[in-house]
Amino acid sequence: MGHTVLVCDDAIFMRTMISDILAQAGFEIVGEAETGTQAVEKYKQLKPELVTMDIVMPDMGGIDAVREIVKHDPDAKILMCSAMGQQALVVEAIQAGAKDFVVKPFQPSRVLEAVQRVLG
Amino acid sequence: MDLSQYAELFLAESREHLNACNQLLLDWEKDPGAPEPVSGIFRAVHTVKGMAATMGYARVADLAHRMENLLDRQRRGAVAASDELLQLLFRATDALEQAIDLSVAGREREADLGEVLADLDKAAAKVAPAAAAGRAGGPSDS
Repeated sequence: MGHTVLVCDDAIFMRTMISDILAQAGFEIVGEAETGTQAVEKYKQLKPELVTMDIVMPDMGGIDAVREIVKHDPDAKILMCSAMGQQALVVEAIQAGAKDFVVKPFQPSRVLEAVQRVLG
Repeated sequence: MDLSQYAELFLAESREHLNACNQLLLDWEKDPGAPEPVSGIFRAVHTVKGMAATMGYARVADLAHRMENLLDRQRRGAVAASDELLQLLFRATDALEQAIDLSVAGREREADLGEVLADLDKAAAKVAPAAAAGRAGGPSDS
């Protein structure tokens, strides 16, 4: 069975696309979250091997969610999904404990490369 | 990757965000000094930008990006919205809706955005003429 993944993004469109890319590559999508708060709750509940995390989300943003998840599990493997022009925020996310990032628009091959890097 | 399978989802979700934008603009018009509408509109436009770029709709993404840039500067400036700014954002939201419809119909090139893009850039320069946009790299959502 493939690695388990939690997909976090406020847009259903993005969650669907990321889930499709990963599921087609053999990953098991165990949950989805549309806010940072949900991401933290679902991480604790589902203990996924990988998290994809959007930066801009309502309620709690992706960077704060990374901080909360890493506080709970310092070994969490989180891949940030950012839009163009968010370099400063990507740096902040990495400092907060995210392992790597991909930039929208997503190319399936780039997403999978980044996922492999994060999973080591 | 066949993107056409996501077009309907893109259209439905974009429309939701555009409706939210229009509602938030009305809220903002009632209370031009309130900080909440600008953050909500920024998030909605940002989401549309990411989705449009993923679908390959470059003109939609470009329009959303310039709206985001103006909103980011307005938010950082923390000054009340002028009537002129609000009317421009209503117009830009309408243009975004049209550009999205045309793009999904495969007619993105017919979207006439020149004037609204220029007006957005002019307004952004007016909101924050110097050292604009704070951190390098454009709009962000810290």
